[in-house]
Amino acid sequence: MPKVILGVGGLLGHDANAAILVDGRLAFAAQEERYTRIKHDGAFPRNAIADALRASGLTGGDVTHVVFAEKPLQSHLFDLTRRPGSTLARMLGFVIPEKWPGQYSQPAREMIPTARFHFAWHHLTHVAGAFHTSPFERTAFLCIDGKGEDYSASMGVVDRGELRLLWEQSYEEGLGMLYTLVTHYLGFLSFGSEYKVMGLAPYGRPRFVEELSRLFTSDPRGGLRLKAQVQFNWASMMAALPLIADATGVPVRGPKDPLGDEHADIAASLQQVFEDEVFKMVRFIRAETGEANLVFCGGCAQNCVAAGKLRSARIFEGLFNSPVGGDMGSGLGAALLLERELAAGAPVAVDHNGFYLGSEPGPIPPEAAPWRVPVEGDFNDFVAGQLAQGKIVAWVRGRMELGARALGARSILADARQPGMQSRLNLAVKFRESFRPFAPLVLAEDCPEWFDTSEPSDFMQYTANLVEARRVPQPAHFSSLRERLDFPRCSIASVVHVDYSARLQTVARAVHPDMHRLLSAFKRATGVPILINTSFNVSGQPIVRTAAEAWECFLNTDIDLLVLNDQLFRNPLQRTREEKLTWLARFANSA
Amino acid sequence: MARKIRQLGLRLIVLALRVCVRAAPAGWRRSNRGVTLRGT
Repeated sequence: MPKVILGVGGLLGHDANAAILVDGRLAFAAQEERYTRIKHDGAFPRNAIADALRASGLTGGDVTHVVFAEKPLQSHLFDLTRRPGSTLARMLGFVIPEKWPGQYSQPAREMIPTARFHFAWHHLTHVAGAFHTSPFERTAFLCIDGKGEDYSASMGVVDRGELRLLWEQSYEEGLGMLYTLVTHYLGFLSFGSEYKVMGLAPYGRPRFVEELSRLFTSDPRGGLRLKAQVQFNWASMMAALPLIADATGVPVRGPKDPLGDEHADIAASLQQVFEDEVFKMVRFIRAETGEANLVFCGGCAQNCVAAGKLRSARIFEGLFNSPVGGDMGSGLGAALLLERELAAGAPVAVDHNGFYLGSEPGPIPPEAAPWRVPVEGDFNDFVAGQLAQGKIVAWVRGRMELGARALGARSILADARQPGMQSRLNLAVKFRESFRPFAPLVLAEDCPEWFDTSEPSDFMQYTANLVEARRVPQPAHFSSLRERLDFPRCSIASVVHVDYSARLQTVARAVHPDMHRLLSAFKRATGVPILINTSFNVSGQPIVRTAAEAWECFLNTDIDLLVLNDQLFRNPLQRTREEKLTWLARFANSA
Repeated sequence: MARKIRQLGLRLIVLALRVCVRAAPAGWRRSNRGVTLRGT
């Protein structure tokens, strides 16, 4: 009978997900939002578990272990007492069964009748998930997120036999909370919008660092703590926003208020504070452990700007930023944590050449048939030719990616050289803020010719800068954000931010052969080994999962062509603008 | 009446927990968090 471990994560109220390990092999992982079509859905991941079992050819009775990526009892005790890291809470944890709160274990028991249940410390699931998909045999780790059970940052050392947690910040009003608060203060109220602030930051100057610093205490080791006691709940966070307005002198921005220079400056200041604190933490752990490598994980490690700067700074010789280090990968991490514990020091082998761990697109909807485009000759050459002519192509092939980013299996692709493509994609296809930059796919072997790095960024984990020779110097001052955005700063301006940075996904043949073939074809056609890559969804909607969802999204946007499995379709362009807006409104609340 | 007694009991438990445990200081502290997973 095989050993089947089901990891269930993201149950702190968002990003629920499930992963399955069969005899140590990572068989499946996916987020619940892709099934329920509710972005960041935190409901018990019934659909993801059911699909994981189906895709693995298993039933609930075959699962031998279920491991949850959180200790709910410890979480409840913390929320109740507001006193974290307490010995009494730990003692109660030994007396009271961890399954007692029941909101996870009861629905899990309905699906998985006989398995043994385990509950893992939340940060350790991040660490295990990142370490076992990293290239390192032994490494220090730094995990920062909004909130584990009763802590917001942790650091230590991990190898195959040992996972030693050395230091922790046992409160929730830490660095992650600060970033979330300022994100809300800047008018981005939907959950998980921190990346928008990161994208806004390069438009501004960090002239509010001192004002923001009045909100917290810190020390040379990166021990940031907000002075106000704020909890991760809506009422508490909303009540804290006026404190930021008082400190900066800039009123709280409403979601529909125009974005001004002062908002960009505050975003730049926040990013500066964030990077300063992360650098202090990293120097502290380097001094404390003396390790050569660092794994950076937790939700805050999704800040690929900070990760890119960390890698360039060489405080550690090796750095790995986990692409699934946030809560969407915590089920995978929990399963790996239990696997390593059951293996008792034996190697935990995980194929980490790609996080393409979800389901296939499935059958193409019959209504698409009349719109099929016959392709003569090489399929990739044909699609590359269409892209070079300025066509926007949705690309849905193979197993779905795990995590927040589309990595070339559920992507929208376009030619980064086309003038105005960034605005066209943002406003007519994605229906989102026009300032938001796009990420480039670049052939790994050609990366150093375009960007100042030769190191891989296989899963869009790091930023890098355009090489000097390809930059067009910008004027010292612009009259508006719009003017700065529209300035032709290089030949691929759609994927290079106003500060010449780019959130790279390097495409290596060994990691993603399918996308490598397309990019190579595009390079043959144009001489440029770079494409725009953005997730196949619209603002507020989870990334599409199935072929049917892809077709529906295709009909309601101005995407020109759709690749479904090995077939190409053109857009019927039958929907009126009103019909598209009605469809779009279904997702508006989570935008 | 029974509801009020239950509420009072809960408050007393919370108060006891607050009194018994210490507040975490700002910054880093040494961790004594166990790693072992307990199956149930």
